[in-house]
Amino acid sequence: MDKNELKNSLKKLEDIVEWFDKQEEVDVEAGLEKVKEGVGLIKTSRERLKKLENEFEEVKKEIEEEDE
Amino acid sequence: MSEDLLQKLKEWRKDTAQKEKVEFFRVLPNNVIEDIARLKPQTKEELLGIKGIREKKFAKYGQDILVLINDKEDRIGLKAVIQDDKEQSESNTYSVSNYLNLLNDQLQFQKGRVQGEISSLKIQETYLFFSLKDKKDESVLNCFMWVRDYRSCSIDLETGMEVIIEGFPEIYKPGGHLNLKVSTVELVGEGVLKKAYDKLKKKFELEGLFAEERKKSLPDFPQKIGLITSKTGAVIHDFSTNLGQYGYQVKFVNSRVEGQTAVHDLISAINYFENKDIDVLVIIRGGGSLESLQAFNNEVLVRKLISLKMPVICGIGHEKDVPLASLVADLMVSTPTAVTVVLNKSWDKALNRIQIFERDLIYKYQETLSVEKHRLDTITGDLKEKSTFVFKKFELLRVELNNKLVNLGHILKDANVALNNFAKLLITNFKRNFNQFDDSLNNTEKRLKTVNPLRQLKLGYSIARIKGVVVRSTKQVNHGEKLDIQVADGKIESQVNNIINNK
Repeated sequence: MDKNELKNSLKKLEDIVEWFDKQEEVDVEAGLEKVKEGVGLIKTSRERLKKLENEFEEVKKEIEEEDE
Repeated sequence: MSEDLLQKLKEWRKDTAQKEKVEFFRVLPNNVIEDIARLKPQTKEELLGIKGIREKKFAKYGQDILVLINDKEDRIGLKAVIQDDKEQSESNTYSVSNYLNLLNDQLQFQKGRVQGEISSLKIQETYLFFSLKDKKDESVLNCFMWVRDYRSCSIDLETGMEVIIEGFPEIYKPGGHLNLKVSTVELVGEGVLKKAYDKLKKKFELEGLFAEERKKSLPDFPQKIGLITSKTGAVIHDFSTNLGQYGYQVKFVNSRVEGQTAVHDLISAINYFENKDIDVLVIIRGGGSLESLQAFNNEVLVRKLISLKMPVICGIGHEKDVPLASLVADLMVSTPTAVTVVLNKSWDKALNRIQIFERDLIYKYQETLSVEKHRLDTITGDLKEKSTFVFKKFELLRVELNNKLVNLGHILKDANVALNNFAKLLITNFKRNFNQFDDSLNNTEKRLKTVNPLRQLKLGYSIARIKGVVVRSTKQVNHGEKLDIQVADGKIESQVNNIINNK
């Protein structure tokens, strides 16, 4: 999952929560579908946000190297 | 400088770069080529003495360069060049040029930082001359500097200015005098630096370079990070320690960050990142005085930062005067740790938001369910109420029926009583009637007794019957007929003898 996907997931989650707020009367079935979708999004987002090792790479520039 | 040689070197570089499919400066940067053209190194050692040429470069291009130089100069055969210096013993006699070359070769290693006051200044198109005077004894050092290097120092030199210069000495062969070949110039003293800083700051301000609306916003979830700082020191450690574990890809270019000399490094590091695919460029160093931070107040560097497409975060510690690089940066904080906070922010926030979403989602759905449950309760309640109504009606009917039945019972009972009464009455009446009848019978009997013919018979009356019929008239009887006469105690049978009619 890349960062854009994460961004999209968060947006979708926001939409789902808003959807609940907007409904005058929530259809229990439709609500359940939304909850299912939300849970999936939360799961994948959590996946992305779990601890990931950082990559640290020192860039050796040729000129720099010569100068040192 | 030999323009001819410079051209040749440039052509050679072009060919080589094309062959190797690299950029020109990857073969040799301009300043190195210019130095070669000026110093015309004859030996491996001389060539290695030029800044920018090390063993690696020499192994690759050394022979080519030396051939080019000797091709032009053709003073010493190629063989002699490669020969060791040892052969040039004291007994050897040098030509002036060769001797000066030898001296320059040695002088290259006499790098120094020199402080003094600028006494004379002559700026040409591509280079400048100035002399540095010792304030105590008025000794003078002649200085030469390329305008390119001068520009990157972003200092406007004036006579009388106190400066520190860095460079190495060399003898200018056509003139025979010694110059310090200056690579950097820096201002001395907080006062002067402050003045320069204020002047530049004002200039940038007028250009609107600090304006917020000019600044780029940091993207959410930055991942590819370009990092410029010094490899040594606590800063880079602080940075990498505090950077959250979100899978950042940090590309790091080591650069000097202290004093004026850092400008070259910083600019070349920024150049490196200029066209790289990074989300954000981070420049950090620890706090320092105006003097130690002067590279970050360099005009060339600042303008370079402004020209970048990606957002720049400066985390440069400072005392009173905020470095100009920080002021134009899209985001400035004062410590490397603060930079990591900024970078982590959207990631941390996402974690938070996920938690909130999770809670909200469950809550909202529970709410939905409870609303639904409530509705169900209401409906059930309604239904119950309605059905109770039906039952109530039924109950009412039942009660009514019961009442009716009870009433009917009463009525029947009453009827029964009435009936009984009636019967009694009937019997009483009957009895009475009967008695009355009885009395009347008795009376009748009494009366009958009095009229009883038998009683009359007793009294002496008799009843005559002919053939069983009571005789009331003479006409009923005929002469000779048998006549029965009934008296009280029996019958006398007789015969009619005579009929006498009284009429």
